[in-house]
Amino acid sequence: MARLQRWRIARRIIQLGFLGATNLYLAGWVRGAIYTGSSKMFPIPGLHCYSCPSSVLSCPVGSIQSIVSSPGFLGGLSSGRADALALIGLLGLVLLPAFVAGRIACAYVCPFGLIQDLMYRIPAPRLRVPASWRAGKYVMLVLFVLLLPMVLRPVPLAGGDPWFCKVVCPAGTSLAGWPLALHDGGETLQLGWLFGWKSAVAALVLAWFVFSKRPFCRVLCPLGALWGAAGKASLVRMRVSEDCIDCGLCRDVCPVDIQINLEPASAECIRCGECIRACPVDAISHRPAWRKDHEEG
Amino acid sequence: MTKRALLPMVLIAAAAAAALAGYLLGDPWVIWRKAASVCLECIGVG
Amino acid sequence: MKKGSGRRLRDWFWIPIVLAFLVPVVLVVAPGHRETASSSGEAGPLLEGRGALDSLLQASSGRRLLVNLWATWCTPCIGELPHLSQVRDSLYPSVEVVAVSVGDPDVEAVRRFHDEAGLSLPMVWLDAAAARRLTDEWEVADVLPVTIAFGPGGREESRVAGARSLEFFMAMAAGGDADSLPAGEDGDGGDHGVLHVNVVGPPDSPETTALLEEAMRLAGDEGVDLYDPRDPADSAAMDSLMLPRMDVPYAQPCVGAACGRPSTTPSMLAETAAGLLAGS
Repeated sequence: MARLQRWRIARRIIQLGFLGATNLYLAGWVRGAIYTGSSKMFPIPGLHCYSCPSSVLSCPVGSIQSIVSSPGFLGGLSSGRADALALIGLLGLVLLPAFVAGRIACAYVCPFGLIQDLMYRIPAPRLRVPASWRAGKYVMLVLFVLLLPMVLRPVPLAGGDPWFCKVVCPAGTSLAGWPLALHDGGETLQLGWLFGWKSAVAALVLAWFVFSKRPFCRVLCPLGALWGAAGKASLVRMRVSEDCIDCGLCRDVCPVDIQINLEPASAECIRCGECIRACPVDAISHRPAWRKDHEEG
Repeated sequence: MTKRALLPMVLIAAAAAAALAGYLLGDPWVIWRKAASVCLECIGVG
Repeated sequence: MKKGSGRRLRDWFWIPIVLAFLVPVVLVVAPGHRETASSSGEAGPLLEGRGALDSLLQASSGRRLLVNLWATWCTPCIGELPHLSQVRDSLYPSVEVVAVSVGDPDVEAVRRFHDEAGLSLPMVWLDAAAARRLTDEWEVADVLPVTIAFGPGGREESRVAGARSLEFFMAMAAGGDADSLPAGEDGDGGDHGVLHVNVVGPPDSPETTALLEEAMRLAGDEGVDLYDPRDPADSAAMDSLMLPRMDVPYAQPCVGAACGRPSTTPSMLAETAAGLLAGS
């Protein structure tokens, strides 16, 4: 287990490193303002609100919504609109790590993943999330990130709304909404029922982190859905050899509660590699697709 | 190189090409524009 | 893998969780259907650049002014613009409302929206650099929409971020400040505040200067606006104020919504203004 501990510490250091590197504008927290540099045209590989005061990159989920909800976006692709082309660029960047190794950014880069990893360390009763709930995030992606922002246009001549940001995202509420609202003190921001709703959602989801393994990643995260689906065709996948003794240790250490021995190609796997280090018989490994080995699942 | 690596390789190349083409030919400032002004929707205000 | 009983029900429980997020969507969208983009009357002008904005602001001295910062891609902004236009429709000329696009890199998008929406309030487009300068000067955070109310003296009275209702903007335009309201009845004579004079002419001509001096004597510095018909921004502002175009410089005195005849000499101006004040 010392091997696993060392690996976990290394992963934590990488996660914290990315957290620091993508949140260089610390002055934002003092000023109650956000960073406006040109680096914000690039997405962070993770769920991190671009309105978080210190964030120097943009949120991929927010950016996708903002483009597909822009006025007259429908049909924009066919006419070669500049923003539609930018969406293709954005999707290319976002999908790149997923085609290499699925949800790997969830394990090493995503700040919201780190928060969940850390909060699950708090001693508490454990709640297992049913595997069927994983479907929720695909609905989030299709409905709240793509369909509703694209189709719902209640205000004439205007674009749609980023519905995932607006009614769901607890990362936005906790890392942008709360600090900015606190800083403003209700002076210029009109905090209405929507703020109440989002705060309640964020509070519930944050509380859930203590009891379940990465529940947001598994049930609600649209980015996880996108990466998970793309990861089905990723270059580097997981491999479990016949040496497996079905001890279940891999599931115990897995941050997303996968039984890797039963579903080595799971779309949920965040490629953190903890099961590799936990396995008492070294049956689990990364399997780069270019390497010839036993033809196996 | 195995046959199994072909699809991921093609996808990686396609994603990289899309990223390059999109950022060079498109208008990536639309991404910046939203990201560089406080997203009132994200806060639950807008 | 095998689990005990009760597994079935729990397995479906993610569906109500996800569907619950549709509740606020419905609540947000349902009242939104009432919005209409176009308002009554003619479309206001679309001006470009900081110079145009400044002259609009200048032209508004003496009345309360709401400046709204918006962008075509900002949905809540587009949603509230009709309200602001309505405020202007019902309160102009005692209140001016200006919509300044500070987030559109390309004027084309603004022009398209302007033409389609046909809102009566004047719009100004600023390019990225000018917009940045303005938001720095006014210490506006990077938020849209923002609406700032300036008093008749040009002092900022209040500012808000986020979309607001018509009622809110009406209250904001009222400002709780009585002397911004048009003196509909007897303004107890001699009060400069009730008289407003628009002087139209090239600023370098002696006729204009003479009119300007007399106007300031009558209405005070705050109560006088100068328009140069050669300046495109001024010219557009004249259109929106419905100031006539004449071959010679003139001054038009107004009390509240009532305006006297355009006067071409200082004495004629004084006479017209006196008649206006006596008659009101």
